[in-house]
Amino acid sequence: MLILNSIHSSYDGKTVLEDLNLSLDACQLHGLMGSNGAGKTTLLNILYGRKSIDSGTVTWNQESLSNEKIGYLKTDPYFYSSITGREYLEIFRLKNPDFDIDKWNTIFELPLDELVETYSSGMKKKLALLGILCPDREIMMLDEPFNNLDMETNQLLGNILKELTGKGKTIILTSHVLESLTRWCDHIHVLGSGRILRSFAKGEFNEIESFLFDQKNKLLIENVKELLK
Amino acid sequence: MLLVVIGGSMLDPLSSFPMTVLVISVIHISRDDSGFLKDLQFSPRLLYLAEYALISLPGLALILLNRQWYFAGFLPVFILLVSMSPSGLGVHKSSSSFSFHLSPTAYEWTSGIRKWGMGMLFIYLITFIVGFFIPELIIAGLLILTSYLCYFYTECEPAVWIKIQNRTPATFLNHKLLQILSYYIPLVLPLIIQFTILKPGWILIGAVSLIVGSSTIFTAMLAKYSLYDEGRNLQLPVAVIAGLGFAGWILPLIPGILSILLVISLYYRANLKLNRYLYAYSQFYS
Repeated sequence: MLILNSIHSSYDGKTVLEDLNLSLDACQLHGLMGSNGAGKTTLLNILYGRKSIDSGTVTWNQESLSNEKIGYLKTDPYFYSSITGREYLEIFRLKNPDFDIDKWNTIFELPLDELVETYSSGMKKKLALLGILCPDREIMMLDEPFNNLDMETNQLLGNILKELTGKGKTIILTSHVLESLTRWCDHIHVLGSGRILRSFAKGEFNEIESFLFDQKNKLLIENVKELLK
Repeated sequence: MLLVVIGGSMLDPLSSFPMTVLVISVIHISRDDSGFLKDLQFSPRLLYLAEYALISLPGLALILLNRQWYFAGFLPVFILLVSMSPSGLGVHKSSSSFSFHLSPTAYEWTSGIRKWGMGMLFIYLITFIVGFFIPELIIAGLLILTSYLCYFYTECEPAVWIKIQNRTPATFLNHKLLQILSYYIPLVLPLIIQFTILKPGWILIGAVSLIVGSSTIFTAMLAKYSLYDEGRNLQLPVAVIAGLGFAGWILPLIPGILSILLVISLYYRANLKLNRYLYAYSQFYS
């Protein structure tokens, strides 16, 4: 289980995460939901060790979390120029030489011997996903993985993620689109005002929409009150 | 350009013309800005003509000083012909993905050869062939090839590629230094051997060129990692720092000492930068 306890994080003096507590069961698909700027990417960057925290602890199976355990797919992964898809993946294979690129590519159907510059954004996302699959990490974090994907690739990605949880991976993905999360996730955690507002299990997904609506209304009323002061 | 032409002319006055021609040819085949210039409604050919005329001035001055009237007459014709010919023949087009096998961690070389391999091959062949007639040109060609190789180290790779190699910043940088030597020496050794055979008395110049070349590429690589920021292209700062690293070797007082100090200080800075970039925030990691 991945446990985040009392995480505080700020950026340029502005609080981004405040007393954030979250427990994520292993081998499940977790969705992080929140409006733009809610702190989803910040949270992933903290877990990946790319962002500092002011206080708090993170443990994985009751031990401190190791960098080696996480694979992270950014929203817009960067690709080195004039490199083919295969060459991009070969570097990840250094960590797991048994990873059969061609076998995996029967699912992804990427033109691996073409330069990455010639790929569409959906193909690039698939390539980046293959990259994080290759080192065989226990936890996989995907930031807005469904952005810019066509219906078919969306379906493929969702199915692959489901399969991976069946094979012992714990997956955290973010989205600001509710439908893409309710379709694939086992749990959805709503992030707002720098903390987890509420976590929903699969059977409770039908309550999310009204919860979000209430939250929005609450925020609106608070804003109006603030204006009328 | 000025250094190459003047240096070559000091070694042999006859080399001013071929060196000027070589440098202009290299610039012309390496450029891919014609589309950009057309978008700005500039005529690329006129601009190239003006640029090459300006660049060739030091070479032309040396040719005139050496009273090589025939070459002085031919140089403007050459510049005119080059300006009118298609540019960017040595620059890769996005559809070309010709494959070759290098170590997966030598992505700078894989990418660089795709981008500039044709241009480098052209210079290599010209240097090799013309070198039989004007051996000094071999050293100029070697320096031009070295400057191409510095450009291999201008693009900051994805941070995950560095992390996945599971090395400390110091061992990562050491690996990169050894990788440069393992590719650079076999690449330029045939030219050094050719130069040594043709000019047996100048063996020291060949050896020094190899050291200067390696040190200049070290400077470029370390400059990249000391300024590292994932996804950034550091073409200008790397070119300037590598140029300083090269210039340190031709200073009259204690040649090389400044270049060596630059390499050491950049190594230290690159180590710090990679440490900070990759590991400083790993607060949960044991």
